[in-house]
Amino acid sequence: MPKPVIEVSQVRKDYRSQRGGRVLLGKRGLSDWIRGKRSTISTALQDIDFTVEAGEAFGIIGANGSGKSTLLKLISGVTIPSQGNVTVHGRVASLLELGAGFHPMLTGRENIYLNAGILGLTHAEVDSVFEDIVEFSGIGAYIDKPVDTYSSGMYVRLGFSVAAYTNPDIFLIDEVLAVGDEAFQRKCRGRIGELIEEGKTLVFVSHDLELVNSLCQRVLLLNEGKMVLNDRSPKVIEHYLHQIVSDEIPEDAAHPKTNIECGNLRATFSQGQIRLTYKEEQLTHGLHVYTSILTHTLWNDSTKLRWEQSESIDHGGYRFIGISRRFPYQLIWEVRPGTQDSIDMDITIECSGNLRLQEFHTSICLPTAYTHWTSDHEAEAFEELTPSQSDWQHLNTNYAHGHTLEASSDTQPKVRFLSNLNNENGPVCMTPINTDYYENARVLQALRTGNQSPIHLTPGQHHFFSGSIQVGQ
Amino acid sequence: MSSETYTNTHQGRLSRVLPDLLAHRQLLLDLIGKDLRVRYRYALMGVAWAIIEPLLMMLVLTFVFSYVFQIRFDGLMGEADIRTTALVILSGLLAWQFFSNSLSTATESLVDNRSLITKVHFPREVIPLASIGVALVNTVIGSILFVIIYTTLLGTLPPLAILLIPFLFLIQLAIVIGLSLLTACLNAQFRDISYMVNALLMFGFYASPVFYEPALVQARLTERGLEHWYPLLFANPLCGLITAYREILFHHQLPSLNILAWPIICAVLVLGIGLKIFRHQSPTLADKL
Repeated sequence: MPKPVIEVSQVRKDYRSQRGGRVLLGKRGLSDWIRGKRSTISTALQDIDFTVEAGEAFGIIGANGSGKSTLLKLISGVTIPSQGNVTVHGRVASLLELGAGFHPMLTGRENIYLNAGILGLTHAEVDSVFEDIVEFSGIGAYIDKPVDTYSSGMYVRLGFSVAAYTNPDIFLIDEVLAVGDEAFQRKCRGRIGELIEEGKTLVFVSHDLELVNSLCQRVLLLNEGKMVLNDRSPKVIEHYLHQIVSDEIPEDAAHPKTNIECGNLRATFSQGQIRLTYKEEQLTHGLHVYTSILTHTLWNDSTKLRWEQSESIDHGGYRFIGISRRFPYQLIWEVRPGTQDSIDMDITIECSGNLRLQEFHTSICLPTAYTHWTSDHEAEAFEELTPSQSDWQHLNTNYAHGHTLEASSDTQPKVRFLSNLNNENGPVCMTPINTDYYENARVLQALRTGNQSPIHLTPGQHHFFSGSIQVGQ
Repeated sequence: MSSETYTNTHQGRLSRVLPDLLAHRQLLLDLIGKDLRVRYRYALMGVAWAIIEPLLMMLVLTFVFSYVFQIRFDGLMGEADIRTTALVILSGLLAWQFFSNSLSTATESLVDNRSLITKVHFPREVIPLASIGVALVNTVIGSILFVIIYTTLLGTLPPLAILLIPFLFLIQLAIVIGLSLLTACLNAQFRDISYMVNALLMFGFYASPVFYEPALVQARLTERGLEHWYPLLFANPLCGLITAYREILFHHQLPSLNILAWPIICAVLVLGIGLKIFRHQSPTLADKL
């Protein structure tokens, strides 16, 4: 069991609303104090509780003003919490702002020694890494020139280099990698990768979710000073993207519902999800029926897309179009009533640019009342979900191409998921899944992967799923 | 590679001051070095300014008080000539300028260095101490110069007892450190403090025996029958200290404990209070800057 190097327990941080300097007689000064007008307190962080273990890369994300930077300041010891404890074992170097403490009139060389000294190094220690720092920064002959002759890029590069070579145990990085040119950014990421390899602990604050996802194993999501989620990166980032979308769209106005009926089955479409009801009883659970795309190592599920007004098509069906805000594609869902308690679905991806697709799936989420599954190749009981389960778990062992997957229950009607598309984009695998304990659902999934290598989609339409959901005895 | 463990609870402890400062002594020296380099690098005459400034001041004061107003320093030296007068003024000036420069730069030091304080964790005492350190370096240079001028003007080396002065100076240093820590952290809270300090320093220049001697004040007060006000002059600890320096330098006698008792009490009190309050404030200084 690795030892925690950062322990944050029950931390709360309050600020006076009036920050910065005050004057004795002015606003919030002595005169106000005598009159009994106290400054109001605002809470930047509350109930923060987490640990970071040695060698871990830990991310902190959240909207502006959610308390990310305050939290880094507490960890770096720049300030202390109003309540609770922050314990840090080991030397911390913060890249809160590169080149903090550089003096413009001193030369690069003098500033290296000074800045490294502020970060806690002795001169002898700086001597041993001096050449590395200069080389990494690419400053060259400018090293003996005053830093006010440097370009802003050189300034920041030198700042990063000093911090990167001071060999701290714990590295705090606050949104500083968006500096310098492309080449230097790549170098910075490379160096951070090296630091992770060397077993350094990293705490990383950024708005670049892809970077957070690729660097960090665990991520903490903050919202208005409170912890929302502290879990594995992809999961937290998806939750965050989800949160952003639900913040943007008011609940009822932008969620028009469309009903499609077939016998006892009713499918209700709303914001990238289809809710199934059988004989007026809700059948699906959690995310209901939805699709998701894995691209750039992030899952983008259909509930995050911007869905347009539905339009009627043939056979009493509807067409729904969902546009991605982040990637150049839109999903076209065509849903029609089928024969006898079933609905048919056709899903097409329309790309407006090149898209690298790693995986694509269509899923039906069912409650845990469903106990058994049957595929074309296997039949098994769903395992019990346990609280320790933090990842979705595929339950089948045979991943061969299949057509049907069925979930059964003692109390609920059978749900059968059929895929009937053979096409150019690779085989469909029908896979039963147990979600994590938090989502608490059984999933029937039609999964399409690129077999290790991503599927390259060119601009245009690509038919990705065709199948139906049948409900009944 | 140094390794540290900290929790918020022990940051404000007074007992941590000395270990923290010892661990960061190099940073203190670096910051002093930075200030000196920055100050003199692009000045044509460089460090010479550290000498020229008090020298000019001495010449002006000597001219005004000894030649125009004809203040005589007969309390210590009998019939003092103009050369001794100049040296007496210079000695007072050196002591005063250390006090005044330290206090005014240290008071503003935390605000001036807020970019560092709000970004990196280190013992905050280092910042005002570095300001005092810069003033100390200038004072040491000035003192060496003083010895040279003393020898040249009076034709004899200063008495051997001059070696005691550094020890007396420690009392002054303690007072300066205590006051500076106090005004620096108060100034982080209320920016008025630096104006107040500068105004008080101006007053302090006249309240300290820089260009006069306490005996002169005593004589004038006695003429008007107000001699019971005289001890008030010594409420200023610098008064006792400057008198003590001059007794060694010009009267060739060791200062009495009588004169030094009050400055010593002041030093202990001010240093203790300054350290305590500064430490109490230092963990959250970054929030106030």
